[in-house]
This record gives sequence, C-alpha cells and structure tokens, in this order.
Amino acid sequence: MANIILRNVKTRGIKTIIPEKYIDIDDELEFFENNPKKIARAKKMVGYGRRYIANENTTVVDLAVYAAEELFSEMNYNRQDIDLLIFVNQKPDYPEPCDACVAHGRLNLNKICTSIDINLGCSGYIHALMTAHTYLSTGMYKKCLILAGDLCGRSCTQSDRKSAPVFGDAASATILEYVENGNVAYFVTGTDGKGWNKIIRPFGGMRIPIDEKILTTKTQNSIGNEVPLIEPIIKGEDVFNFTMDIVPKLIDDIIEFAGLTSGDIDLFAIHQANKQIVENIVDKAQIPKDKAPTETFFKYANNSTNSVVTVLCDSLKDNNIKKVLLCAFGVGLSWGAAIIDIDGIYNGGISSYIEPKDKSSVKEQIDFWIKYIKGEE
Amino acid sequence: MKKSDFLVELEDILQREESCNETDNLEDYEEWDSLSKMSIMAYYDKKFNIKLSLKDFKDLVTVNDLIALAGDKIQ
Repeated sequence: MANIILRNVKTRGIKTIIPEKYIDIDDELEFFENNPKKIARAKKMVGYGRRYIANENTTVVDLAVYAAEELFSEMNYNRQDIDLLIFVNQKPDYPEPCDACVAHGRLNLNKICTSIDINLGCSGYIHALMTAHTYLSTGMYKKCLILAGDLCGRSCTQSDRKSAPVFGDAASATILEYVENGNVAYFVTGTDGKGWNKIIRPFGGMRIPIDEKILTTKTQNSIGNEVPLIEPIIKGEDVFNFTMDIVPKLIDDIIEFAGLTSGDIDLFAIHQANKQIVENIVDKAQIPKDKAPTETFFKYANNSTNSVVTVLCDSLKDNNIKKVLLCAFGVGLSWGAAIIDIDGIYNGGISSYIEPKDKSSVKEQIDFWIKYIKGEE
Repeated sequence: MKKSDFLVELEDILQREESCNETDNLEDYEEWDSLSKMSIMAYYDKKFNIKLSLKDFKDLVTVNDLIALAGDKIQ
C-alpha cells in the first residue's frame, strides 16, 4: 500500500445533493412475498431502508453541479479562484469529453483551471482527496473543487434484489485550499487488480460495445432474479471476503502511520457498503462504535463514490469534530483511507435536487444531437 | 464455542423464530437464503476468523455440516 503524508491543505466546505425521488424498502412488499416479516428480517440483517434514485433525465454531473452551486452560494465563495477541478465518477455523462470539462463549463469556472476526471467507484473519493492534496500541497495550485458521485441506484433494475435495495444515488461538492500553516493529512491507498471482475458492468465500453442483443437479453442472476445483461455484476461473497481481508487492517495501518490511536479520531466515516459489512469492520478494527456511524446506510443506502461524503454531511451537524478518518473500498478492487483535520469546515449537509423546469428530456436531447450532426445547431 | 451456544446464536444469525437443532436440514428452513449465507459468512469471519465462500455452502445438508465448517472452533 502507498502511505503518503501531505501538508498545507485544508478542507473548507462540503455539500451532498440527493435526487428528489426515493424508494422505501417498506414499500416493496411484492419483492418479499407480501410478507412484512421478511422485510423486517432484511432490514435487521442488512440495514435496508430508504434509497434516493435519480430519474432517467438526471446524471451525476447534474447533481454535482447543483451541489457546487449551492456550496458557492452558501459559503459566498468566489468560484473564479478555483484553479483545480477533480471529478470522480463511474457513470459519466458522455464517453467523451470527461465530466470535469462539462462541469467546468456549466459552472462558468476560470479558464486557468486544470480539470481532470478520476474513474473510480466506492474508493474514488479518497483518491480524489489524495490527488487534490497532492496538487495543492505543492503550493502551485491554491483552490480545488472536488465533484464526486455515482448513479448505482439509477443503474439497477428494481427486480434485481441483489443490487437494487443496496444502492442509492448522491453527489457532492468539496472545496479545499492551500494553507501555509503546515496542516497535515495522511493517506493509505491500494489496489488488487486481480479482482477487476468482482464488481463490473462488462458491456458498453470499447471491449464489448452495447448492441441490440445485449440490450434485449435477460438472464437469471445467482439468486434467481431475471435481470438484463446490462445490470451491474457483484460477486458479493468475494467482495465481502476482500473487504474483511483489507479494510480492518487498512484502518489499523493508517492510524499507526499517523502516530495516533483510535481514541484520537473524532469520527470514522466508513464507506456504507451495507450495515452488516460496516458493523463487521467496526468490530474487527475495534473502533469505538459511537464514532462510526452505520445508520447512514439505512437513511441513504450505499452511495458508492459519494458514500463517505454522505456520512460526513450527515454526521457533522451540531458536532464538534476535528479529526476524521475516511475509509472506502470496492470496485477495482481498490481501497483507500485518509486522516484529515476538518475543524472549521462548512458543512452544507444533505439537500434535495430540484430539477430545472426547462430540462430537456432524453428524446429531446437525441433530436438535438441529430440536428447538431447535420450542422443545424 | 459450545455447540449449544452456537445453536442459539444461529437463530439470531438467520433471524429465525424457531429453535435450531444439529440434525435439522438447512433446506427445510424458510430462512436459508442468500441473506442468511452472507450473515453466516460475516459471523464466521468475525467470531472465528474463518473465511467462507459460496462453494462451502453447496454441499451443506444439515446444521451439523454448517458447524463442521468451523472446525474445532465449535465443540
């Protein structure tokens, strides 16, 4: 694992945005043989609760740009000072250009701003945070905007009971700045690329482009649900064992690397894969339970890339929290942990996305691009 | 861990309202589903530091077979 210390960076503000629409597990009786006891059992075992799902017209870029606009407004922040934009997401608006450039344009950022994407899921925010700290700590960059999110909720077919109840959608904006006070941040990251196919959507890239057969074919998953081929594949038991092999040790390692004890950490923001997994990590890493929220999964589900930000935004209100350990893991297989000081941070909390009334439908967008190709737009 | 203690724990792991017995056939349990198997994996990892895979569940017939996966950790 790479162990890195980076200085002179401060996280100034965060805000998470969730879609308007949600599904409660209690409203899904039909998937539990109309037996409320079975729902209660699943809630207790896995922690299923509410998940917010973006509509077909809403993307991570929409949610993240909305989060940034709200954050700029609430912090009275001058966006023209931002010279680094990092967008971390696995469900981009377009195969090209990258989300960071699209967001840069929509946010009217300064042309001197470097804009890059990071294509990672659950572990992505830690990598974006580490990248931001790496650039800013040089002093060559002064102000960074991280946009993060994923649409695992929207991407799941609701009849896929392995994945659908687990995932919800969310995106966020984070502002970081170069400071000269020597503020220290610690990062530990790692990858096991041999597990590249443990969490995967195999179709739609250049390896196997989507064709009509792929779009129309359905098959049974390992628990007997009929699912489309384009559904994400998750080898749950392998991912669980990977998590238990890596993550408790990752938490131990970063605490030791920072020369701290778990008592020095005010909040453990652990990726909310599901309640069972988070509780197992907390037990194995011997983390104080009152400092490691597990209820975020019940309130917002697994938000993939945004998961640890959702925990932060949900937990920082009314709390005097200074030192935070963030820890995330998943698709790749990839993992990372960070210890940062966030005293004085502005927490914009979690707000709902309000869709603009004049937003184009998918059909209208297709019509637009046909005209664009013809040279009529 | 004593076998009798594990049988009580198993009720909670599976979220089963009736008691569990060594000779019970797992397929007879309404609760013997993918959620239960993941819960067993989580429990064995946490309590016994034993990693199970889905292959381990394929040949299981009775509760006793499940207990045997823990080796000498359940006696």
